[in-house]
Amino acid sequence: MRVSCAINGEPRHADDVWEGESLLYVLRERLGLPGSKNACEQGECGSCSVYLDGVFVCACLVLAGQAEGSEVVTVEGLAAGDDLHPVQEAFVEAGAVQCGFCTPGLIVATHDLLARNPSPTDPEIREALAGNLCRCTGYEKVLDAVRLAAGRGLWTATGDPSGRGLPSRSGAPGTRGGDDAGPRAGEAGT
Amino acid sequence: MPVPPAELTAELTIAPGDDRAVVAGREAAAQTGLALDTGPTTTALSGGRREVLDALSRVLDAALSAGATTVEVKLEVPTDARDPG
Amino acid sequence: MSAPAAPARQPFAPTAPVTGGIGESPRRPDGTLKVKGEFAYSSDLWAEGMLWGATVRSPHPRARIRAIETADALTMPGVLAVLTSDDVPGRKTYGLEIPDQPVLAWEDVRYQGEPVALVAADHPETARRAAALVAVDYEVLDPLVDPEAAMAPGAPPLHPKGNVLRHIRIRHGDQDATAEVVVTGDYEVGMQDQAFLGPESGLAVPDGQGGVDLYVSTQWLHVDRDQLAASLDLPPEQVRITLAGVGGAFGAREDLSMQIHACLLALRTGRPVKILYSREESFFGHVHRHPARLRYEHGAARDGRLVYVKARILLDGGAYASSSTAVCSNAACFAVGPYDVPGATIDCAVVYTDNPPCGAMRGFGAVQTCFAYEAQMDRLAAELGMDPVELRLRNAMGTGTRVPTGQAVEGAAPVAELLRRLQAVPLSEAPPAGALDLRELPGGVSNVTHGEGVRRGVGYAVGFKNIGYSEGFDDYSTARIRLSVVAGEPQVEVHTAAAEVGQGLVTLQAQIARTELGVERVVVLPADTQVGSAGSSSASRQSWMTGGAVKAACEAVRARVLERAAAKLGSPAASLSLRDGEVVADGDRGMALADLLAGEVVEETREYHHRQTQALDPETGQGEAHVAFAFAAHRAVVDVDTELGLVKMVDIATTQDVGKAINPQAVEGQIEGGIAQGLGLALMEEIQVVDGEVRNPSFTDYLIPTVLDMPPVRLDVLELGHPDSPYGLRGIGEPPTISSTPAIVAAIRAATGRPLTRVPVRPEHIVGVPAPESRDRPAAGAGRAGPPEGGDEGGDGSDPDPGSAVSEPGRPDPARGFPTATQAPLDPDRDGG
Repeated sequence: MRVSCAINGEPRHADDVWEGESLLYVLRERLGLPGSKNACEQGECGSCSVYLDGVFVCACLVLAGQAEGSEVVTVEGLAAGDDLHPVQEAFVEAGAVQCGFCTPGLIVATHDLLARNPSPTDPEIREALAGNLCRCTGYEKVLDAVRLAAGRGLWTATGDPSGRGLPSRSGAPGTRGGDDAGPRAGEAGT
Repeated sequence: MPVPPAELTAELTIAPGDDRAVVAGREAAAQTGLALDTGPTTTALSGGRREVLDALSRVLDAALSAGATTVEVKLEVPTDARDPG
Repeated sequence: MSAPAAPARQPFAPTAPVTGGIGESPRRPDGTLKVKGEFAYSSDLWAEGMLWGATVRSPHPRARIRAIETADALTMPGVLAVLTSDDVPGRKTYGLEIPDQPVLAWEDVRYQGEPVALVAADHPETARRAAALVAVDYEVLDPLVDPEAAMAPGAPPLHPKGNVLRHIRIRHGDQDATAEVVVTGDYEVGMQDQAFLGPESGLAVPDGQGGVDLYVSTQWLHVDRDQLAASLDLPPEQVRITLAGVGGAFGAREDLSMQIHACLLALRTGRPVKILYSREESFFGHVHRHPARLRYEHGAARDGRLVYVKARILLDGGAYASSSTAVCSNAACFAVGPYDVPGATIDCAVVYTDNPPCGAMRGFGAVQTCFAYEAQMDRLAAELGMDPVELRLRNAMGTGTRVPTGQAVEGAAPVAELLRRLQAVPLSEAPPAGALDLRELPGGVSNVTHGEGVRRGVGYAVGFKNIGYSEGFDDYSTARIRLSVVAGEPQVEVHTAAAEVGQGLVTLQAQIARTELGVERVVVLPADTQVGSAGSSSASRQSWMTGGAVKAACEAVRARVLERAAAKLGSPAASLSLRDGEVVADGDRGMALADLLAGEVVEETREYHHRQTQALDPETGQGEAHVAFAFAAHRAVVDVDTELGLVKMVDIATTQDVGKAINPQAVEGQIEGGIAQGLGLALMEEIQVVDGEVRNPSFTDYLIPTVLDMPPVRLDVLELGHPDSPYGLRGIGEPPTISSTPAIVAAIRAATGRPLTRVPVRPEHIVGVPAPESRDRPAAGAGRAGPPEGGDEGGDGSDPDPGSAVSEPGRPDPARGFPTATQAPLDPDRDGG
């Protein structure tokens, strides 16, 4: 079958997709986007995390056909050209990247967290990232990276300092980009 | 991490590859305590040079007595990993 | 046939600039690629016309293959090849130390998951379905899964050499010493898994001339290459390996997984072949940590001074040798711990069974013994009425102490200092009564307690291990350094075969080159076999060995450059140095390096060897076997829900001597990551093996710590130097995994009073309910003390000669003198099977 959707803002399609293929497989093997990872393909590790119509999901648990007509954002869609997204920048600076296999999933998870909760406490960070496994870092520097990114106070009413305007979730409380978000205290720089 | 490699490895391919000669060779090899199972028609002896050479003659003897007509013996002195170029 | 195009996504040099030298923490050169999702791991590789490989694996732990029918699989549309052992052109077995492991099984199957056949197809689902159609006629046999039974006289030999792979004897000091105070213990360590996130994967590309290029995640390129060449029956030059991005290793990538398989399929089909394991397959596709049964006896004087340590250690090596002989040696050498003990009697054996093969995992034998000897030290302290840390201080090793193999420790051995510094770290306050945050309690938001039944405990442990290889192995690494001028600026290329597995080796190499040559622009080329071997990324050795090679090659380049500069400037070379892209004469600027080179290239390749070590004496275990040692201590604080047996880690503090921190941020990352793995072994990680079958091959049931499980880590890193190493550094990767586990269990014991002689600790052990398997069957993954039950696994249960195994005439008996298991456990109310 053919699957057509918007990936990172661009219309894309894949042909000859077998019905049992996951969105993760199509991204990695058919659309040249291997940034989302395949550490377990069972929904246990979070390494395949992407946005599907603004919702943070495991791409390995989404059948390719379910993504038909949807908007998908992957880790490859967060940077603006050569400029890293502030979350990506924070991960490198804080030393949160060792082998890096968990990194894309953690970056999307952190991006999602900070868009919903720009100043999370440590317990809130831990709960939000509990679905992402890392084997190298022991999570200490991952937490440093999240605090670093949050502390830069870059999150604004639109939720995403990269200005990419990710599609908002409809109806969910605390939706970023909505009127209820309000202006954030403290613009760039800490 | 690895123990020092064996000084000598002797790999024997016994023909005919039917049961009698191969089994006899294998059993004799097993008795020496140096044997490795390296394939359907081969057996290998691995260890110090003197003990491998001594064991080799016993294994050859057993295989020949059980009807082996050809035994190919490949002796290898293991070297550590080096780039040939 | 023309060679297929090179892979469209293949590894390439990380070129993001590394801006710092030794002692700084520059950004990783591959960091930007990794956070953008553009870093090519081995599972990301792709090539035009690529086929997918799949592996047919035995479902039985022990069987004999009667026949393999491939016709149905071959005729499936989209399938291009089905291969069996007959199709292996060269040596049909491989192995790190002993080539005893079949590339594809031809007759004997010795573990569940053993590869039997291979399929190549144009879609991974097709390959999987075709693999299911390969019909293997097995004669299913009873597996031999109890290591005690495997050593018993009359046990069926699983390999021609018999079942005892190695038995290390260490006899140090007075073997007949007596002591006023004696404590004994039986301990057990379950089978841990490395559980790296990047699945086994790689891409093999035939070159059209009979050779093959392999892009793969691995730990030692050249040893892979040599095994490949032997099995593919190719000269080494025709097998070229390039390291693809590695998603963690921790020892599990030292053995081959899909390397020979992918190359076989690629050479047969003439097309690139990618093999990628699923997570479930990965649990069967690599070796695990050796489960261990340890029996200890510590003898001490009333004042706490240790008199002797006796240990009997039995490691279950599983189906094939892997690196078991070295793990056995390590466990034996480090069986006593970082203490000054006059007498030691150690017997450590590793045996073959039909359990999953075990091999290298971070800590390598020293993990298992540390759990046991630190538990013993706490028992001894309790028996003496002494503080556990005080007992350790009283017996702490120092510079010049002789380890049980007789070698005197050189350089800093700061055991006492590590413990004192740990003690001085203030304990975090218990939360004020009434302040209820479920997330801080055991069980978390499951809401199983509001503080009732929760007790806090504190535990200490200290451990050590060797750095690098031992027993006379001539270990080395190679580096090629190339200095040239690119776009008017000097540039250094660093080329080694060293495997970056996440630890930051690629950053460190650039830092060393920058420091030694004073050049800003340093490019670390992809690791491949076009340069000499770098040895394995294991044994905490790479910073030392590859760092040493890079340093040596840079020094050689610098010497040539300064000689040339000396001629040009008319100053003696000894007064010149390189800094910031310039040749500097006695601190004053001499000339720009780019001008001096004037378009020429200076290139040097150097091999770095450590000093020679010796083998261990086969009877006494004495010998100068090790290069160096590394020490770490941990203190754990836990809260335990004593009613449900749930543990909440409150915090972990550690002190570790790293010699010299080449990259402080990377050092911290390794320590924190190692602690997480130690925590996993303490609380949750175990491959559950029953009758040779793995019950939990998934992240659903093999639990590794999440961010909710890990506590804050308080680090205290010492840089005490080392007399013998580049920059005075020591290896750092393994010590954090060694003493973290026993510190956590000690803390749980302090909170609960439970003896806890087994890891991972389970809730039923804490609460005190005997687990079902302690009543009915051997504990998972390891044998049990006592003779095997009536004849079912080869032993006849009535050993007439308890002294030693009976040897057959003419067959040497490695088990000679290995203490037999006694009838009863030393602790009748010992928990956990």
